[in-house]
Amino acid sequence: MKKPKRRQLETESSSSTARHWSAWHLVTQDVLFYIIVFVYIWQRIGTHLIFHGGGFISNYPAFYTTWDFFEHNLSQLGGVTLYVSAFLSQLFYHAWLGAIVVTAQAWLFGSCLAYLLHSTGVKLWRLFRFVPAYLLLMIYGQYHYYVPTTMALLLALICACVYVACPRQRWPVRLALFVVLSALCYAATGGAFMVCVCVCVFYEAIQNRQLVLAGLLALVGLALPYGLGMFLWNVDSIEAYTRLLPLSWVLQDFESRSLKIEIVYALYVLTPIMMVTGRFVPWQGFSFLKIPLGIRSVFFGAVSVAIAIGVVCSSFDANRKAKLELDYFAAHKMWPQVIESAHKQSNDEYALHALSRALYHTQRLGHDLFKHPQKPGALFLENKPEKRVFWASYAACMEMGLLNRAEHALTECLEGLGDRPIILKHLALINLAKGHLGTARIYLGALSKTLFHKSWACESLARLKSDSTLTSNQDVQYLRSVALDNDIPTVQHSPDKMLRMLLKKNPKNRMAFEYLMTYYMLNHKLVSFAQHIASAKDVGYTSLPTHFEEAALVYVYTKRKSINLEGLKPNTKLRKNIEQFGQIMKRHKGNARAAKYELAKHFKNTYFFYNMYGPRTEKPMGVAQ
Amino acid sequence: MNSPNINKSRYKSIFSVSAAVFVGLCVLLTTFLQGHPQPNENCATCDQRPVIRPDYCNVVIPVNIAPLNFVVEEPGTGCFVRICGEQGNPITLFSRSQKISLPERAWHELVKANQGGQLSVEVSVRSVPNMATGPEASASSWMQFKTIPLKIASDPIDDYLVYRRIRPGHTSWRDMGIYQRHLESFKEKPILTNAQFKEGCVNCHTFCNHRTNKMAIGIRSSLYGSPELLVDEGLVHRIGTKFGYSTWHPSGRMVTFSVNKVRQIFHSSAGEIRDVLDLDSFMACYQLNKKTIETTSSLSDKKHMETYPTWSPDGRYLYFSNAPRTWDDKQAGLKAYDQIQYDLVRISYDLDSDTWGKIETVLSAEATGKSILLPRISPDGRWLLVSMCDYGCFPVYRADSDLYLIDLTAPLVDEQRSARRLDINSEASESWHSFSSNGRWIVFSSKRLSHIFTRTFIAYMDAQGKIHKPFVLPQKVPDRYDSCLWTFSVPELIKEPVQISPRTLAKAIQCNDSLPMAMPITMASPQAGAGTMYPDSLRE
Repeated sequence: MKKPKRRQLETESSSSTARHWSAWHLVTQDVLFYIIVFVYIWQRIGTHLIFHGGGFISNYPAFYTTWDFFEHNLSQLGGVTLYVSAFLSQLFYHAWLGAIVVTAQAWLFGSCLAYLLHSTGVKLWRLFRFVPAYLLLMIYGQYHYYVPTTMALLLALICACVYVACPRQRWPVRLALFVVLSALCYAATGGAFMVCVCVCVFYEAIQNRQLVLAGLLALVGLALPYGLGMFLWNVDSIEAYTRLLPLSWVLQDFESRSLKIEIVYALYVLTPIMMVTGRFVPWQGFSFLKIPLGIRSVFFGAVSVAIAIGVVCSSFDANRKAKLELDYFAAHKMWPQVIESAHKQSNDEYALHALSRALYHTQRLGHDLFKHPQKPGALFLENKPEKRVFWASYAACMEMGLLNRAEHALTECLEGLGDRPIILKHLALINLAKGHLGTARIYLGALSKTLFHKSWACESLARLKSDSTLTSNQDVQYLRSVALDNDIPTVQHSPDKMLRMLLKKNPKNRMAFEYLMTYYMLNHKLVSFAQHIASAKDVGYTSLPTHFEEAALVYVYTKRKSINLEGLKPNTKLRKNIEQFGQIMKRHKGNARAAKYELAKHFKNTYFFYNMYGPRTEKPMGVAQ
Repeated sequence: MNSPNINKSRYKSIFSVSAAVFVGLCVLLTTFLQGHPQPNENCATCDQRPVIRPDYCNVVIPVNIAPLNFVVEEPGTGCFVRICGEQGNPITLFSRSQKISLPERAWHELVKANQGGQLSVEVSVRSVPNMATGPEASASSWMQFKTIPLKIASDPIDDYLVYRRIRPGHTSWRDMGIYQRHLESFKEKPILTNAQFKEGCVNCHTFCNHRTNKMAIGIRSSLYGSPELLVDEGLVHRIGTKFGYSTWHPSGRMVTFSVNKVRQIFHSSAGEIRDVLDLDSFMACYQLNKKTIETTSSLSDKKHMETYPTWSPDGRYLYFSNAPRTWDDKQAGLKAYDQIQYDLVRISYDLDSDTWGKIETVLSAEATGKSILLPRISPDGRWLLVSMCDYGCFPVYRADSDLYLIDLTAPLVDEQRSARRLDINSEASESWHSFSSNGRWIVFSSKRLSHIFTRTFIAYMDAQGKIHKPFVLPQKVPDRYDSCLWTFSVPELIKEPVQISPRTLAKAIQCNDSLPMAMPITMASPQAGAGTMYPDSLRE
């Protein structure tokens, strides 16, 4: 055997070294890039907020660690995707775990795209391989739930990569391979299989120039959903072709589930479009610019990255994040965070509702309520037609003792939002408190089959076994102590009647008392306020909270009637305040509009001001001298 | 030049795989030959029956029922179960988890061999002594419990059970469907799910004479309206009006249905969160040959509310629940929700001349002090099964709802029938009952296992009208009901499976081609575009 010549060996060695360094360069780029992606998702997006849902996300799946659940999913068209998506979606519960999942998804997307583009001779695959990650960051940054459809696409692309990676054989073999792969891909991914078909067809047509084979692949791809989908899975023709696609009715027919879905479409068409255009559009790499190649690469790489970052950041829905965060904080009883977050969303009634709850739990409801702009309907989220009301209001209902109302809300949530662990947990608690142990066991049983709430459920079941009266369960005992036991059946319960009934059952129900007084204040029902304020003593107050006393003073000054607050220490400063308020009004000759600016300077955070300028349907009770 | 190396590595991998397979087979064989732990002759005995879940103790089962898988609730580290009868090979198995899943084939062979007889279920529970040391440390002790008897009736049950599977939602729904369950196995297949027509509502399924050649299913959908799907000998007809509770005339020529104006009431503090009442209702008949809807004044009286129709097996009488409507406006009706009590009445009908007779009271609310609902008659025409509750028209939401049996051949008392409360009732709601085609089995919905989740129960009724202890529909997973968030309601027994595919039914829903129907106008008449049921935003 001839020895290779020295120059040839040197050339081969240097190109091998170049390839080696090029590979290292790529890997380093990937690692750095995906670390940044991970950190962005973990810290900026926070997948735990998507998991939480906030009452917005109605298509978040449940996941149960049972064979039944596994079988049920796999028996459906696209079952593998559904099952895997359901499992991975549970990992969003922890922000860092969810960030790993999304980063892995982004990396796999990028790798598939890179491999497919490289296989079809597209030159800029190194740059384009990061585009899916940007799109995913945009998707997750909108705080909508598109995991099944993106996962379906990913699996379809992986199947396409498998096909492309297979060694070149004669066309009957490739066709047979494609048929087998297609059947598996279709079963696993549903309509996303069509992307796999497109990619394989383009690959055969563009790269291998096997037009006949490409045509056959296209025929198989078109016929397979019709045959398998309609006759094996018994779905209709539209469902057979659109299952798990962004086009699917499961997303399209629900406005909340299809917001900003254009980005998902972009992710879907990215690979086929890049394969076609990258191949037919000759990319000169801006070689017409007379700049050295290295500098040109760095410069345009940096510009591309900057544009991508700009797009990702501008598409980030900070408003939605704020709402989700607030709801998350409220659900996890992080009261200082609730107050801070709600203050920034003062126009949102849901934020005000959460704020009231947080103020109550930090003993500031009667003192700080009017430091934030208020709306009367926010306290109980009245007259709001959307289903999100159920999600937002059940906790407050539970805490003050309206167990039936809370159970009704949670049951609606179960239907509207799915088997969320938090819903199952609270339904179990309510039924434990009501003594419906059989029902509670079923909710706990279901919860014990979830991933992250299993231990709580199993402990509760064990405690239930050893102590069926639940005397050692503090949560249950509290609920029993405040639970309403007077039944008034009606179509819709008025809040003040419910609160009065709660206080009748347990005069020490501080939450019911504070909410009742707050309700009267917000709705300008000072006569009713005056009738019930004396109950403050039963609740355990030694002095009235600031706003309550302000409201009492407004009543006394306007109605010229006294309120019996025996045993409650008055606040002389507040009396001075109301007199000062009255003097300012007098100076402006009772013209509320004219006096507003001056009054706002001194009394903006008081009930005096709200009474005069807060939203209402009747005329305000003027504070006269 | 490299071929010898390739061959070597190929042989290595073949050898590794073969070795792994061989070891695996050895392990399996060893496990199989070793057998499972079982009590010895000297094990302790207990004169009580073990607590098992579901409770299948002393029940009567049909020969064609799936295995009664169960969980042994006694504390232990495993249990051994032996099921035997006078004939056939006994079934033995051991379970560490104490969840007993009986092998299907062996079960069916044993049950068939003992049809008309009895099986004995022997349960022994193993426990390991605590803190034991020395040679006895690893020894386990067994406790054998008193045998559980399982009687097997001579009469089989219909092969399929149809029910609606839905979550216990109040005003909204997500996933629901009508399913058919093969009773001899655990196979459950959808007849129609709401996923096939974009999450509408599907309910009120009814079959003619326990057959599936004629059946009806009601739909409510904001997208597709509220049509009734009528299947007649393989053809699906879409009738463009809402049917409520429906019943087939035994001739198969007519479907009688109610139209109900339903409202929900919510309780501030009660076990059941809500109640349902009809602000108005009436009944009408759809004639298949004429494709028209007709009614008569007795079935659509403006001063009364008629609902829950059911035909006698000979087709000569229509039984239904009837209550006076004492209000003219909605508010008054809502306030009177707990005073409404329904009588059980019937009206004669001649199919050939299409003429109706006069309404007769079968059993009055005044006589019983209860509201009498959901009449269903056995195929031999002798027995009439009803639900009775303190008030109202929706017994599934009433914990006081119980099953009562009326013997239609017994002499009248004060010109009315007398009803016997069944012993099989519980503290919870029992309702949605129906008979098998041979009249020997009844299925019904009960909330006895939990006050919210309705489960389907099966009970044997002998020729004398005695109804034996019911058992819950068996499931493949023994503890399935412990975490099952579905309710199974409106159970109906059918002889053969529904052949129409869900896709065909869904296509019929989605097509706009309906048989237009003119309905009689009353307060209960459906409004145009009537869809889902929502509570009024009505304050006190």
